[in-house]
Amino acid sequence: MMPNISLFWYGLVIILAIIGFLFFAMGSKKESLVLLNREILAKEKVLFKSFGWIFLVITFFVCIYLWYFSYGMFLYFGVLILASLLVIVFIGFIAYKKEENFENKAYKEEKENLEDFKVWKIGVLVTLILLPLFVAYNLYTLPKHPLESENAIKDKIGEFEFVLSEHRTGKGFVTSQGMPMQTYHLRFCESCDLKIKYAYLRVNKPRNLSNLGIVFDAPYWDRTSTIQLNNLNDKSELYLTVVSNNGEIYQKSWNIKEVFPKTLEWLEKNKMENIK
Amino acid sequence: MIKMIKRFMFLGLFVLPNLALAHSPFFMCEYDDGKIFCEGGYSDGSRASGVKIKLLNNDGKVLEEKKLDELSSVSFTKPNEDFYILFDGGTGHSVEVEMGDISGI
Repeated sequence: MMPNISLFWYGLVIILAIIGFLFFAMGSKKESLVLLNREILAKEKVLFKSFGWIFLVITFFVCIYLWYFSYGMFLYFGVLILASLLVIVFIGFIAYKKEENFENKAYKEEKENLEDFKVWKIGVLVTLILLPLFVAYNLYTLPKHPLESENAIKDKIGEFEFVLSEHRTGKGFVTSQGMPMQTYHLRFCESCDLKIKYAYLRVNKPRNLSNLGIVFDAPYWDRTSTIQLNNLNDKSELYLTVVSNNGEIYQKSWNIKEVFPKTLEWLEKNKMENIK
Repeated sequence: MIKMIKRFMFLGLFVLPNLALAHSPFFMCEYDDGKIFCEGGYSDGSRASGVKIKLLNNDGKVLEEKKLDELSSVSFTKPNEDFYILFDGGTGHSVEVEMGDISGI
C-alpha cells in the first residue's frame, strides 16, 4: 500500500529536486549566463554540480524513507521529471524576458513563425507537466491495500499477531472453468514474521496434517493464498493453519458468514447468474 | 550473439514474469449415473493434466488413484463406502473434495 503521506512532503521533495536542477543549470555554461548573467568559473562549475547531485541524492533518500522503496522509486522519477520540466520552463521564461528587453528587431514573418512554434512548444510542455501530476494524483488516490480494509480480521494465533483480509471485499473471481475463487492476504506482525515457516488456508477443517490447505506465498509482508469457494454455506469455516519455525502448529477458524458475509452474497449471486 | 541476447531479453521480459505469477489449484466433482466426474485446474485458467487424483476412504486408505487426463479431467466409479477425493498437487497445493460436496450424490 502506498503510504499516506502529507502533501507537505510531496511539496518538499519537489522543491529539493528543483533546487538540485537549478544548481545543475547554474553549473552549465549557457544556463549560467541566463541565471547569473555571467560565465561561471571552473571551480564554481564543480561546486554547483556537486550541490546539484547532493540535492538529488537527498531527494532520493527522502522518497525512499517516506514512501518505501517500491513506491519511492517511482515517485522519485516522477519528481525528477516534474522538477526538471519546471526548471526548463523557468530558465526558458527568463531567457525569453531578457531577449525581449534587449532584442526587439524581429521581422513580422519571423514573429509569426515564432508564435506558431511557441504555441506548439507550450502545448508539449503543458502536457509534459500535467502527465507526472496526473500520475502523482493517481498514486495518491490509489485504493487502500486489502490488509488496511475495515473488514480485515485482526487476531492472534499462538503468539503471533496477524491481519487477514480478502483481496476484494466480498468479491472473488471466477476461473474460465467456472470455479469461484478468492485471494486472501495475510501479514504477521514484524517481530513474528521471521518465526513463521508456513501458513495455509482452506475452507473447513483439514482432515489431517498432510493437507492443511493452500499455502500462503509471495513476500512476507503480503503473503497471499487463493482458494476455491464452491460449496460454501452458512456453516462453512475458514481455517488458518500456521507452522512456526520450531515445528509448532497453530490453527484458528472463523465462520465465513460472520467474517466475510458479502462473499457468501456474491457466491449466491454468481450461482443465480449461472442458473439464468 | 546478438540473437542470443535478444532471446534472453525476451525471456526476461515476457516469460519469467509469467512464471513468477502464482496460480492456485482448484478441483470439483459431480456424480452422474454411478460415476464421479472430476475436473481440476489452476486459478489462471491453465489445465492440471498429469496431476495425481486419489480416491480415499475416511480412514485415509487410497481406494483408487488416477491422473488428470489431457482435458484435465478424471472419472471414478462411486465406491460403496464414504470417501473423499484428493487433488494431490503437493504440500500446500492440494485440494480435497468431500463426498457431501459432490453435486448429484
